[in-house]
Amino acid sequence: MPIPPTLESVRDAIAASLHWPNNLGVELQPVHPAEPQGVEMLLLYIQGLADEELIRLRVLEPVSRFSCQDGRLTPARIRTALHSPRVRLEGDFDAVIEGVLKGAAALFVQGGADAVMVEIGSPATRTTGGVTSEQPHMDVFGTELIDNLALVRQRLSDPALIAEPHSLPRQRGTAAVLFLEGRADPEVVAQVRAWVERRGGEEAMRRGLAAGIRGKVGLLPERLSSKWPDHVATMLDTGYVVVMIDRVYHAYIAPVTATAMLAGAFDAVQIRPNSHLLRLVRFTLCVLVLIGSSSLVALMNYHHEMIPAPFLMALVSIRESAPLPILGSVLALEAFQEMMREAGFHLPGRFAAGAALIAGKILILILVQGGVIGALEGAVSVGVAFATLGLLNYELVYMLRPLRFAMILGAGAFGFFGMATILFLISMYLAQSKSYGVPFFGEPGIHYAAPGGISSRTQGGRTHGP
Amino acid sequence: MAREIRYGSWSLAAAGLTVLFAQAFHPSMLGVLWAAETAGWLALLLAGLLAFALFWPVAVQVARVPGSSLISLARETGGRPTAVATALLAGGLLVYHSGLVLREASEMAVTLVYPHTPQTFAMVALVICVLYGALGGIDAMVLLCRSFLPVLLLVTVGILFGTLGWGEIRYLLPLWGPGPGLLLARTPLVVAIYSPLLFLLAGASRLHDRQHLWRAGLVATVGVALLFAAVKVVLVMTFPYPLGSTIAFPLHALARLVIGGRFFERIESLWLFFWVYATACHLGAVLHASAAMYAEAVGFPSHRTAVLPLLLTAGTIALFPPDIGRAIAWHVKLAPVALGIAFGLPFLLVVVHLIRGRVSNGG
Repeated sequence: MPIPPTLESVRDAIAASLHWPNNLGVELQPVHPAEPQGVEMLLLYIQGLADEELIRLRVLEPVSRFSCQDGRLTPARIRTALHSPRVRLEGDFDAVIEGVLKGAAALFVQGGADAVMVEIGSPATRTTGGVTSEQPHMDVFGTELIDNLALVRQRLSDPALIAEPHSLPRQRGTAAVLFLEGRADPEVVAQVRAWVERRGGEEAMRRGLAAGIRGKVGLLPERLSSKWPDHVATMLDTGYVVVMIDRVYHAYIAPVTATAMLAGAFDAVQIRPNSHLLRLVRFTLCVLVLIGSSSLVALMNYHHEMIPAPFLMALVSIRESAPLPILGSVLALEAFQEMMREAGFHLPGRFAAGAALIAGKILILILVQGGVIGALEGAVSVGVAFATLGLLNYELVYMLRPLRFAMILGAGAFGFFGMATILFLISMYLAQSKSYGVPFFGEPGIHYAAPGGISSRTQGGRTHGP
Repeated sequence: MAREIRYGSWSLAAAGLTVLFAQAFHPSMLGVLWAAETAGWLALLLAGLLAFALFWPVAVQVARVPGSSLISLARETGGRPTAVATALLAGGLLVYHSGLVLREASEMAVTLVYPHTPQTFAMVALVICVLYGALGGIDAMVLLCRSFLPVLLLVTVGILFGTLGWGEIRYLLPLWGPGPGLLLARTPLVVAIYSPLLFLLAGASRLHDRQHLWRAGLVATVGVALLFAAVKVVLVMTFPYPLGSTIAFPLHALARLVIGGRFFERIESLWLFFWVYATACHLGAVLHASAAMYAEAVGFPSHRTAVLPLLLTAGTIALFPPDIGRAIAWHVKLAPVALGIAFGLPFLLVVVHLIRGRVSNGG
């Protein structure tokens, strides 16, 4: 597509392709040269991707000093005036937009067949600092909304990415609702927008991460949170809607689905088979967290026949000195583990949670050696604790933790049958649950395109979120 | 704007497979599998093909009717009285089936699987699961089955691979069994196990033809046939004839031979953990299907109104048989009737509908 001939049509074309002015960070401003006076040019760039200080030094100041005696302002003359090897002319409007999305600034001249492209990209980064050999180099969000948006746009340079601005007057801040047009479900976008406008954004500014987790009565959170731009970009690319708020260093992801909960921040930088494998590993960890301790209770209380006789005898001899029954031991260990985890969260330092966990395990070892609890329940408790650590998503862990106790009680009462019943009821609850109208086991966007299927709204399913 | 859910073949196939997986464990299936004898794997394959041959044209034709359900087909064909009669027949069969399966399942849970579980609890727990499933609706059920199926397949494949070490290839030969004649004669009985596919037809009121109902039916039917065939193959490879042909609960028998089975002496308790899950899905889906049929036939706005009365009816039926032997006998007797209603009734309606359509077009 050629560059539109007039500045008005350039404005229209930018509005159509980049959703300006309803797209936070997309900056389109008039520029005036010294001579001829009254002539206007348009400067287009994306905040955060293009360095605004460099724009001032290399574009705005030279252009404001530029004087054209014969009154014929052309892109070629502007390029000469800017006098830099990083300045070029571009005649294709789509290529201009692509360049702008990669951090360049574009200058449009009235009647010009080309745009002047200035490569001044100096994108904002905010790295984790502690990069290990296992994890790739990852950026994290800060508290500046524009920089956070830029971090996402670096990873998803798609003109369909829209960041709708919403002002939060009470907190004097701004929120952005991000989605990929054509991929996100418009109804989900509308609901998320409604949540932000209903002062949800202000609530999030006050409460931070808790605003994402705190939901109505139920198991599922209202929104997921992430501090990783790669994660957020992947979720946007698969049809999710993201809310980013000024001075909040988490992005909120909606709707809440099983796939989203199992997705990790590092999946985005993995090749596809590995990312699927990682999700499978996390799913296995979820199952282990849910049924690990309860299976032990069911086996020892109800299903002795499943354990070979010599092994059973060994287990009985190990547990001879244990004062508590197996159900009591397992419940006590799980409660102890929760306390240590909670203590770990309040300790200072990056590895405090891990240190608290290790300390807890050492205490368990002492209890086992002292004969207070059996070795088997101690080993299972340690395994379940490490499985919990393997789940990166806080919301998922918070969801599983209380359910684990329900499974243990079910196993203690009715063995595997009790476990199967509770698991079915939990699964059915999750299958009926909806987040912003999307089923928990469903996918946002792609399954809702065509008319004529089931209207999930008329099925009376449980709905989480506003 | 109402949000729309579209189910692909995978979702529907998952629902069908889960439903049929639960069916495979019901004691009434055993008579059918015993009848298949050594070449049961071939019988099951034939049964799968036959079920598909019966199912496919009906599903394709039903999908062409506005509303795309058995009841809408009946209404199009013979008006409201035909729709109500169809709902009474097909829905009644499903309720009766639910009652017997409920009884069998609770008996089996208590006597075979979980000896320490009180029977009342087994029955009440199943009823609660079924009620929740049926009230949850077809959306939740299909999504649940879709998430459950990979685990199910993983466990099954694991068991199959784990048992191959005991196999002997010669026991696979069909002539080791009763011979082709008897085999073919008994195949229709095996087809009866596919009667819950009626559930797919009943749920079809919510599905459009472009959602490839027939393809989902194909995947479910052939997939289950292959699954059972594989199980039977391994069973026959593992145990010589005639022992292999008379083993009840082939999946249990195989589960005991898993390499890990040297560690777990009775791993079937663990294996049947999945069965409870699948049974709850199965019964919930079947009850939902019957409730949806009645609701559509009499014009209720939602199927939920009909769920509780039907569950009470099914629960009452579950208490009728004095023991599990009688329940199995009733269920085996039900197989030909189920076959007729599951396949014959829709087929009859489709034929009448086609003839009437042609007559009206010609007129």
